[in-house]
Parts: sequence; structure tokens; C-alpha cells
Amino acid sequence: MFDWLANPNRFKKITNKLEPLLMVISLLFIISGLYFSLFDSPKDYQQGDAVRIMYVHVPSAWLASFLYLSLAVSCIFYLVWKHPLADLISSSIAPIGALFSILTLITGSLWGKPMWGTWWVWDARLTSMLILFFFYLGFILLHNAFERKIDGSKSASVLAIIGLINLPIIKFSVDWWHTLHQPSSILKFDGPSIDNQMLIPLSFMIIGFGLFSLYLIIINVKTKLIEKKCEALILKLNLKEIL
Amino acid sequence: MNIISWIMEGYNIYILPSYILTLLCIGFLFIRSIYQSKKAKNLLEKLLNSNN
Repeated sequence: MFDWLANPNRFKKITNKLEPLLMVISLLFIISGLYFSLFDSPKDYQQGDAVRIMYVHVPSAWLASFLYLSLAVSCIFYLVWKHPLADLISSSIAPIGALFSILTLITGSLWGKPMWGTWWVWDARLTSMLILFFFYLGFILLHNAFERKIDGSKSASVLAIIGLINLPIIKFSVDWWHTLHQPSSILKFDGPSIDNQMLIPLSFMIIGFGLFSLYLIIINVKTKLIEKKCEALILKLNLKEIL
Repeated sequence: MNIISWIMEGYNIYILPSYILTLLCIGFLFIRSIYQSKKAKNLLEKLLNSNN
């Protein structure tokens, strides 16, 4: 499947059709999710209206983790099978994932202040999410740090694969340690413990954010393909001038 | 939708910045992606013209 998609022309052909569809569907989900989460979902019996922060905090957190997983998988494809698109995909995912991880931290702080009485605690879940943000930053910096692009891509890919160890720590930190952060209430073996009236807007936001991220990744990968073409043309023009 | 629903028991000072920041970040990612895409397309067009 990846082999089949790794052809840049085929990738462009498929994504050209997919792009507008993703844009429209994701916006529909986000807009309706916003309406439900701000006006139509009930208050929590303990947290009151502050629970509404969950509808932007949880999708950001899930996406930050899921995008990192996708980034690391494409780095494995790049390092092991040398797929031409894999490096472009991972470098397109990184800024989006970094932004979602910092959003998770900020919206978490905005929820923490009224609920816990503090903006930040060095809790296992919060700290591991901060480390995830640093892994994203490290990937972006390393990717652009070398004169030869291939060196940057390889070292950033190694870093991203090492960072995979942080994902199970983020997920299970609330079970392994006694943390201030509440345990998981959706991805549980015995099913979600959250009411459907809250689960539906949350799902809308997660799907909307997810599809919108996919749309942005596709645009970024296509842009990087064009930039590669430009680099090749500049080389060709320079050679012409020399000859 | 009356003003009470926007006060959200006083939590609005935490809730609204969360939503505004999230939407601003998504908007920034979208504008940045479109801008870079257009920039790359223009450069390619220029290079193709000068190559011909």
C-alpha cells in the first residue's frame, strides 16, 4: 500500500480529489462540534461549565500523540525502506503535531487553574506531554540543522523513533503513577465512562481536528514535492550557466 | 442566546481563551500551509519559464 502511494505522481492524483472533500467534511465536524460543545452539551456535576475546555483539550492531546506515532512510523519507512515520500510526510507532520502538543499544555493549564488551583504541576501526564513537545521541537530543529538535507532527515528520524518510548508513558502515566491528572475515561477496556451527551461533541471535535490535520499534511507534502522540483530546476539552470 | 450563557459560571475567562487560541492555531496552520503552497507554485512557474 505504502509502496503504491510512494509514487509522487500517484500521490498527487489521489490527494487532488481528496483535498476539497477533507476540507469541507472537517469544517462541518469542527463547526458542529463547536456548537455542541459550547451551547448544547451539559455541565459536569463537579466541574460545572469548565468541562467545556475538555472539548478542545482532549482532541489536541489525542492528535499530538497520534501525529507523533504517524511521524515515527514514516521515519521508520524512511530509514528502513528509503521511501521518497516518507521524509516529506514526517517533516510535514512535525509542525502540526508540535502546535497540537503546545495547545494541549496551554488548554490543560487553563483547565487546571480553576479545577486544581494551579496552572502547572510536575505531574507524570503533564511532564510526559511536555517531553513530547520537546521531541517535536528536536525533530524540527535537527531536520533543518545540517547543510546536507539527507543528514538532517536521518538524524531527525532516529530522534523521532527514540521518542516513541514516550507515547506509552503518556497513555499509561495516569495508571502507573498517582497523578493529579484524572485517569482515562474514553479509551478503557470496559468502555467509555463519559456520558453520550459529552461523548458526541467530543467525537465531533476529534474527527474534525483529525481530518483537518490530514488535509494540512496533504497540502504540506504537496508543497514539499513542488519545492523538490524547484531545487532540481535551480540545479539544472545553474549547470546550464556553468556549461 | 443570552449573556448568561457566555458567562459560564465565571469560567468564561478560562473557556473562551481555550477555544479562541485553538481556533487561532488551526487558522494559523491553514494560512501558513496555503501561503507556502502558493509561494512554491509561483517559484516553480518562474523557474519553468526561465528554463524554457
